[in-house]
Amino acid sequence: MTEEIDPIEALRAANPVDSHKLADPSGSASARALFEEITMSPLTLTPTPSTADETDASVRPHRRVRRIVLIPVIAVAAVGLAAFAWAIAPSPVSKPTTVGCYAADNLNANTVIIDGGSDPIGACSAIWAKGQLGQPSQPLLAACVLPSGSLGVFPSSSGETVCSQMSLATPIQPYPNSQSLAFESFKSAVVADFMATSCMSPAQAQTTVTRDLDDHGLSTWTTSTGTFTADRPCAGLAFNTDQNQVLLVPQTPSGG
Amino acid sequence: MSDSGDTEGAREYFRTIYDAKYRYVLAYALRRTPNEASANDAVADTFLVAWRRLPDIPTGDETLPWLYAVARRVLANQRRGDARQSHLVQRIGNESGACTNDVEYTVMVGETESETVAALRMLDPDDQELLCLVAWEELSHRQIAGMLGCSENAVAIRVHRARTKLRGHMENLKGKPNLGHIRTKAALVEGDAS
Repeated sequence: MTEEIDPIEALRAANPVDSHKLADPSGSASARALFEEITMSPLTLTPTPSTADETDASVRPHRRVRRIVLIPVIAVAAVGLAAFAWAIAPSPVSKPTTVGCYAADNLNANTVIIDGGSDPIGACSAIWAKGQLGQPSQPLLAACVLPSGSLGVFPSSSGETVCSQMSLATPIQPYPNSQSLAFESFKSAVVADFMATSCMSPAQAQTTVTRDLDDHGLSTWTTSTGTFTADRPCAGLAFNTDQNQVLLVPQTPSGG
Repeated sequence: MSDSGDTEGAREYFRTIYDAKYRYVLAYALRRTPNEASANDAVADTFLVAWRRLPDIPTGDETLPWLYAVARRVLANQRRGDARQSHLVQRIGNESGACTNDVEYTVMVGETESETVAALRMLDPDDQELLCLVAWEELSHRQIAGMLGCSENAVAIRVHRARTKLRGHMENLKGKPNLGHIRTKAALVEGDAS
């Protein structure tokens, strides 16, 4: 008479929320509003003189954003403890397009994400000087390779030993290498091309990206095109550096 | 000029993640919070962290566990804040949140809950979370291991043990009237079964 119970199956049947019945962001006004709110907070703050001040003023975070930014994210694991430091072989920077400028030698510290560029430490130093990571200051900085393959720049009085203290690798030198420089150059060119047109059609975008990729010797890169509609007839750009892919993202005519 | 273009690129990359994962993160939060407003707050905070840590987000089937791990910490912070305000958890019954992993919220048995969920709440918070990740988020042991920072083997062992405990509680609860009150983890450990 003993009835065999599969607890996992019983639990599955008792699931209080079916995720498939929840609205996608495209069908939820609040989700769309949240996206806009979040992406208004500082992210790519490349400190060039022409736009830095404008960026500071225009992307001031909302109340929620500010509150969250001020709350340090708690640590899951005690990475970064000197007691666990060991030597890790230098590693390539597989995602050179973005760099994280960290507020402390801790992966959970507040971070400003900037453009990959030719001088990541210099760029993060400028972020520090502007006070975007706390009080304006000029700490010594060191670059480490993050688990994602991007570069993280951390304040460190002991140079690159900060990397091993956080179980991170140092970047293989020279960095930036020819690949990252080629990508950087390509990105500048293709972004300039897109910025020159108020609404680039998918076909025009495809041609432009292909030409720019060829011009910069990025033969392993491909393009992926989203579904364009009457509402979103204009192509925007995104880069998936994990897959060496340029994404053509449907946008509204005023979306840029 | 290229600043806004780069920002736009990051924004669109983030959009692909947001569009694909939003509903799953929302479901994760709804399953673990007592009301929709708290869940929405948790989702907002989770994606804000994701936005600010865009280079750290892993790709492929590791993206969602990474977001869940962030949401888990956000919810834990949220609960700590709630607990500080009220000193004691007072929520009971009729609330949709079912899977919790903080001591203050452990073992709430609502009048309308199934025996399965009631039994779930009798488990240690870590065991609750583990089983929820398997049954509700449908994560593999490998994904859970990455999320919790332990080995796949350790996850398999812990899931097996938690599952056995859950089965025991389900059998014990079978046919019994619903308890309909809060018991703290300490009470549970001390063997208060009433």
